[in-house]
Amino acid sequence: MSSGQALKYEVRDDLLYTKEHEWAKILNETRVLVGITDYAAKLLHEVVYVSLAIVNSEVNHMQSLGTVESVKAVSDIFSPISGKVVKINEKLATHPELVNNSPYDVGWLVEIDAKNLLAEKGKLMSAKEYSSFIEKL
Amino acid sequence: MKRTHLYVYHKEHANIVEFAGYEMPLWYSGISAEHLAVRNSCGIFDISHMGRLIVEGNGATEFLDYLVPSNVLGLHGGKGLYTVLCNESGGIIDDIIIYRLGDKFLVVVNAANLDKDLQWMSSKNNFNARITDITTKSSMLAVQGPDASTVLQKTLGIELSTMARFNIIEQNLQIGNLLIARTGYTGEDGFELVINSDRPEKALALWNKIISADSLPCGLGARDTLRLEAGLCLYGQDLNDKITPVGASLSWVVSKAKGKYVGKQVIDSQMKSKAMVSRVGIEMIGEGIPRKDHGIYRGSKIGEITSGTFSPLLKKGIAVGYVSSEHSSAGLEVEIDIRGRRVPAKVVKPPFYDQTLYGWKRIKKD
Repeated sequence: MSSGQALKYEVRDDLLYTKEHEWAKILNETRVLVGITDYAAKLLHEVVYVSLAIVNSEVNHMQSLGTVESVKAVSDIFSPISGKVVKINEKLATHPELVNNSPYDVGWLVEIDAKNLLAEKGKLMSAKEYSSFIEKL
Repeated sequence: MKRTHLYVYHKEHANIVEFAGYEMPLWYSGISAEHLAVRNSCGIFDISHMGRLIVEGNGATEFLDYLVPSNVLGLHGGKGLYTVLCNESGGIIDDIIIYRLGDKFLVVVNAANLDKDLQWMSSKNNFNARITDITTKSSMLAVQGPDASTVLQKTLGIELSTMARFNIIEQNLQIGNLLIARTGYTGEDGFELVINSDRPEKALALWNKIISADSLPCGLGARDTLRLEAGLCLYGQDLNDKITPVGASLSWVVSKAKGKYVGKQVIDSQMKSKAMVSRVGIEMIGEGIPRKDHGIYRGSKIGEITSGTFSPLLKKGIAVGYVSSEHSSAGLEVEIDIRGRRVPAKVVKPPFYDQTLYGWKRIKKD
């Protein structure tokens, strides 16, 4: 799927990014909030189901954290950071459209208790790097 | 990459996707909004990528009649029919619409199949019929939904509400030479217009005029959810050259009284025996969206999904698939393997919507 000229994407400076279009917000030394980017949300278009790893399950860097389904397609979500899922966004079960409407705020996906944050942070892209990455897609 | 005459509009207003070698709009305002506009009022699609062939000459009628299992000899002027092109083994090469316009025919084929169809038709043309590909020299729009005739009446200034379904007329209007057919592929009432002009501004002017008469521009995303909700086939997914019209539950296109035609032997014998597989509708009971290639189970595997999506109208997963015939009765509970998870679903007879409320057979309220 190629992106149309009609779309513009928001990239936030205070987040880190993956090539698979997830974002990570470092809350403190161990806690990370995870979601999908505005680019991913716009490309997916009309999210109708979100299925997430359960609370207390372990996730690994760039391994599956769940799936997001839109009218047209299904996409895997990859965890930017390894650790334990401590919270999932319960609202998405009944309001999956929050992922489209507010990918960086109300539409966040999970909170992770990171076990290797310092090392893994370096593997993620800065806002500037991610912006130039999606420009070339 | 090919572009239709309306590409300038799409580029500015839509999310573009590659489809059958064309840069086409996937959606403008959103798949669900566009889908619901067609179910509740009126939407407009650019379908110029679809192949348009004019077949004419002395042997044209006999030629087309030989190519398809339907009765073309009995097709009156000003009428169209949905049918299939089959190979010698009865397998479907394409699903098409043939319209008769006096002594010539308009044949509308799928975009991805145009070259293949042209080759096939030429190879079977021992009738001296003349086949002209007018795809790039014309545009085609679909205006669909319960308000379609009102919208077009406003736009074109001609009375269309009394026109019968599957009829076609030719009109020379200020906007240009138009073929107007009361057909479509959304399950709704509606019209398909062919603008006979290679000037893009002609198509664009008509497109803009129809939009300003209260219809929403719709992309391929909504076209797919609409046709699936109506239970209509998509070539390449639900139909292919291994499946015969009998196997595809399209026996109604086969004229039983017909003489010789391509694929007759196989199709005739299948019409007498019971089909091994049936095309059925699947409606999810549990959560999840069935997609192409997902398995259909009743204990063991009984079939496969060929097209699946989220229904914007029903707000749940729907699909079309093939099951072995003994498992094809409506109401039967099945399970769909959605990426390793077995989710409860049931067999239904499409269309998926309530036909008293939606679709061209709906009971009018006013």
